[in-house]
Amino acid sequence: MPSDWRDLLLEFDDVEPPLDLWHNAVARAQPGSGRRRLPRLSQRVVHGLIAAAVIGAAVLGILFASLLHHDAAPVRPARQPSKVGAQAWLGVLAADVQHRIALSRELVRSDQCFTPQWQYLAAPIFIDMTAYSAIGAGPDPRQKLGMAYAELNNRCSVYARQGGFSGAERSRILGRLAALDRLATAQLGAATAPPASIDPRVGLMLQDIQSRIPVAQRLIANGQCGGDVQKIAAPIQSDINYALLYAAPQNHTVAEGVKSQPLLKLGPDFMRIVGPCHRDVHAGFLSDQRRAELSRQVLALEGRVDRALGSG
Amino acid sequence: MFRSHGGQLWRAVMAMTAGRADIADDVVAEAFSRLLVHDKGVRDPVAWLFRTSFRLAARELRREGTRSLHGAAATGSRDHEQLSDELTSALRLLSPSQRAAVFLHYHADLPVSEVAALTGSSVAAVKVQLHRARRALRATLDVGEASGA
Repeated sequence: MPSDWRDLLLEFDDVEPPLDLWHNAVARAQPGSGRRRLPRLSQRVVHGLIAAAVIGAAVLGILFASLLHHDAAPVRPARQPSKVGAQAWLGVLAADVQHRIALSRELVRSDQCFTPQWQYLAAPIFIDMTAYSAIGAGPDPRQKLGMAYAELNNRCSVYARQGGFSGAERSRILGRLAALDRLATAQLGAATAPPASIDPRVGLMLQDIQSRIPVAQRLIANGQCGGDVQKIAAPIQSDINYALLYAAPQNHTVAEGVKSQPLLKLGPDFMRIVGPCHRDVHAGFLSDQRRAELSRQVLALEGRVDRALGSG
Repeated sequence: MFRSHGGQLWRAVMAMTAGRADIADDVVAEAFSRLLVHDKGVRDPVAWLFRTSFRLAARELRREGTRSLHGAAATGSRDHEQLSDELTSALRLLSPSQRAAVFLHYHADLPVSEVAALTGSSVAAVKVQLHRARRALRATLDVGEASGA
């Protein structure tokens, strides 16, 4: 039995009604249908039917298009499977959740849900979950961390949109954060905070970069800086924006921000590595020379980030 | 309304029936179908949906004779596979109305007044349900800790 029975209730965030529930309701409402218990299709069967319908429609569409445009553009080479696997995305997701708990707590305590700072803080979690879902590797305990954080984000936003929450509601949300913290610690070990001398938002950015450098290295090494690189770049941009709200209150620019927070520069440095990789791959060719140069740069950045966080 | 409340309603019935997905599927579909038919005559559709679903679910449980603490679904363990054994065991310590109150107040974060509206009870009755539920769950926790579980 967990230390707090309320933690058990978090499990309800993970269960979903069947996809055909609404269909059943509508069918029952038809005149003459009578009340009947319709057989429950398992989630897998329904997902399978939907996937089969989508794939079937896509195949038919492709066949039809090929008949019409048989003399069209040359066939592109088949897309290679991503070299960034499920474990890599799960690692990033779990670390991101754990690193965000303290800052989330501060925002909830000061009634700052549904604010730009809250959105910047939460956005990377949704991007990570999308990246993992795209692989279709199935449920994982670390994915549960992301879903619990996403649920918290929704609650916070709902309360904020309604005009704020009461002391009791705030306590409950903080309680859920505490439960999430315990869950993360149980899975990952105790959280490592950035040095106290670093602004916590900049510290978060550095931790997020640290989590993503191995992914960046793999993408560069395999010349796969396509959609996957956007999934690691967008969160860092979100972190930069978040840090700039505090470090650059006048005009939110990096130039203003680095004056008070020099380490903020490492965020744009990360973007200056993955950006060119993405551009070259998108243009169709990443040369070996460019690949080697970007690999050196990301290695150097890793050293700087590790030293800043006191882990290098 | 289904998009905004259907999921939460289904989970509430799952909680109230201690994990009976088959009952949740049936009563929630039935409640929505009745609302589709009687829509114009319902003043507060959300509260009506919740009260109707809980009433139908309670009737199903009574019919199956599963109101006792140790009642297990005769329809098989597959219905409980969405919830862990830990959660299911904890829920079975409570009566259906206590489960609903606990879910709506502690998981859905609804104030006691709203829980009362959705369950068709009074505020005082909901407070009593919550108090008894907390006592039952804490008692099991203390026993569990004492026995090293």
